[in-house]
Amino acid sequence: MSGFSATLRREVLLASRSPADMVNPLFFFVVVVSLFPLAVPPTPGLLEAMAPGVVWVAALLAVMLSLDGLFRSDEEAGVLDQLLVAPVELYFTVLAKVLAHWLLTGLPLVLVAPLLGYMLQLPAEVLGSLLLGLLLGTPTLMFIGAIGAALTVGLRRGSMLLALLVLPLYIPVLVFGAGSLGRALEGLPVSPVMAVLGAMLAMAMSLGPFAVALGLRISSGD
Amino acid sequence: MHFDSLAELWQMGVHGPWVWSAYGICVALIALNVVWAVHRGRRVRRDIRGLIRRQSLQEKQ
Amino acid sequence: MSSDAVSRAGLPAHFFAVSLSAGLLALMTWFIWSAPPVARTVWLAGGWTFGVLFYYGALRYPHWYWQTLERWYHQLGSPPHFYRIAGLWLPWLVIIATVLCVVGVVWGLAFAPPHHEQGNSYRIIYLHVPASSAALMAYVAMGVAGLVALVWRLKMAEIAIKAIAPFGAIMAAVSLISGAIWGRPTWGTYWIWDARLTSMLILLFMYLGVIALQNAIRDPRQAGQAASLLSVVGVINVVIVRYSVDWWQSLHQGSSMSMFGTAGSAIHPSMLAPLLLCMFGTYFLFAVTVLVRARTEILWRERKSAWVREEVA
Repeated sequence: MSGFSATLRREVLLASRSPADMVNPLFFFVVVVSLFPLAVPPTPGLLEAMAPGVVWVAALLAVMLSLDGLFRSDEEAGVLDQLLVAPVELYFTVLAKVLAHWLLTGLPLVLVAPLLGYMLQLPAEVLGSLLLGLLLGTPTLMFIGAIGAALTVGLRRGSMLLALLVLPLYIPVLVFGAGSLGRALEGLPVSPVMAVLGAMLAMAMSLGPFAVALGLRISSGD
Repeated sequence: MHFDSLAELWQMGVHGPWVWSAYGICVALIALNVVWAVHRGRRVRRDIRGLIRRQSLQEKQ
Repeated sequence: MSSDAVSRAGLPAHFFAVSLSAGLLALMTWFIWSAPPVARTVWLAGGWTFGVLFYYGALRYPHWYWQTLERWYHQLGSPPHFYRIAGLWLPWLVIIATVLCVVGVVWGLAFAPPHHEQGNSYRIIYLHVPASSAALMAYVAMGVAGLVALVWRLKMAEIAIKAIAPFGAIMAAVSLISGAIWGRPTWGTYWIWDARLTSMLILLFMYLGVIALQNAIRDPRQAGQAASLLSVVGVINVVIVRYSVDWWQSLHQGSSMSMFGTAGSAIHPSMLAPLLLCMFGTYFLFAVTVLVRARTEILWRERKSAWVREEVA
């Protein structure tokens, strides 16, 4: 477990020294969501009906784009090779890395989402479900996407490939995430859908680091 | 045979165009898959033969 | 080579046998689960007969079974052996696949009775259902091969993944195209976001992802391992996608559209017989293309070895 807290501390320290990496995904999320009201006709109710899909797809893309650099800087600096031979379980190192990445880029995105939801004319009652859904969904997206990031870490033009590998894996989270908001808009109870999102998070969080660690070992040629 | 003549088989009531276009496109795809696999096999064999030839030439020199 | 892989992972060959039969069991469960109801009974009967015979034999003659399985493990895991055995099987598989497919398709197109609601347009089923089931089956097979490749680093399992992926992608495309053309006279549109069409589209994307990942990595062993991991993750995803898309559709459309009113139970035995022929024919076609591609890949990977030079000359 010492690997866990050390990695967590290291990631937070690194991020505090280059805050731009942290802000960029957030900025991307806000800009993409703001594009939609300009692109669709101002029919009453249309924006509200589209809002779940817009917010979730934008959040998904922001998470995916932020993941491209998750292991790349470590690989370029040679830190990754050190992590692979370090006498601590790679599982916990990976867990800490992905959790730190979520805390630094995913959490701000979740926190700003209710504001964007309000701008998309969502009623105030459903903003809670939006927040909770993203709170459960974005870490799941992080852990799934980290598998793709680990497999493409050493490749040139890896970011395009990452999208191709990871987007099909994101579909269940997208369906249930946007679905939870859709149900909230119809006034139906959202707890069953939130339970499914939570189950997916539990699965991604427990099994994901195994796959990520294996992917890192494969990418390093082991 | 369910149909009385080949012309009727071709027309299939009103559904001829759908059924035959589906079979045409998809059978072509499946055949392409097989042809492609066999063709790649031949090319790889030819490439390996070229490798051997080049190597034996190098050894002679 | 294979014994090296076993000792590196520290696992005995018995584990291979157990996981192979577990994989077969999973495959059969998948067949039964995904088949239309009447075909499901056929699968169930066949599966039980096979299972009872297999496990009776395994309990009655355990020594012989283990020996056979261990021999298979070493022979199939060794590229030259596999190349030779596949070469012996291929002509027979080609004959069986051709006969089954041709008889099934001609029977289905010309001799089977028309459907009472859809008329003759239903005859696309003899293309659509075998292709869909082969696309699903191929992905599960890829996942099983991926697991074997990850645990034992078996070179042949990596080669199998590379050989299966193009076939699966083509079959998914065939399923989508035939489904779209069938949909036009049946539903009045080429494309709807039906649960099954949508999950097949995602399956196609996942095949393309595996192929793209393999092409992006230069070193063949590394590419094989990466594709193995992706296919194992993908198998889990296929199941979750299926459930999530079903749920999503129930949310948006109320009832699911079926090709045959009340599911496949309406299908008459005279229509089912050619369908089963086509399905078996497609599985043999799967074997044929996978073996051809695997043989090509073996030759290329082992191009520096003496046996390949003899084989090619």
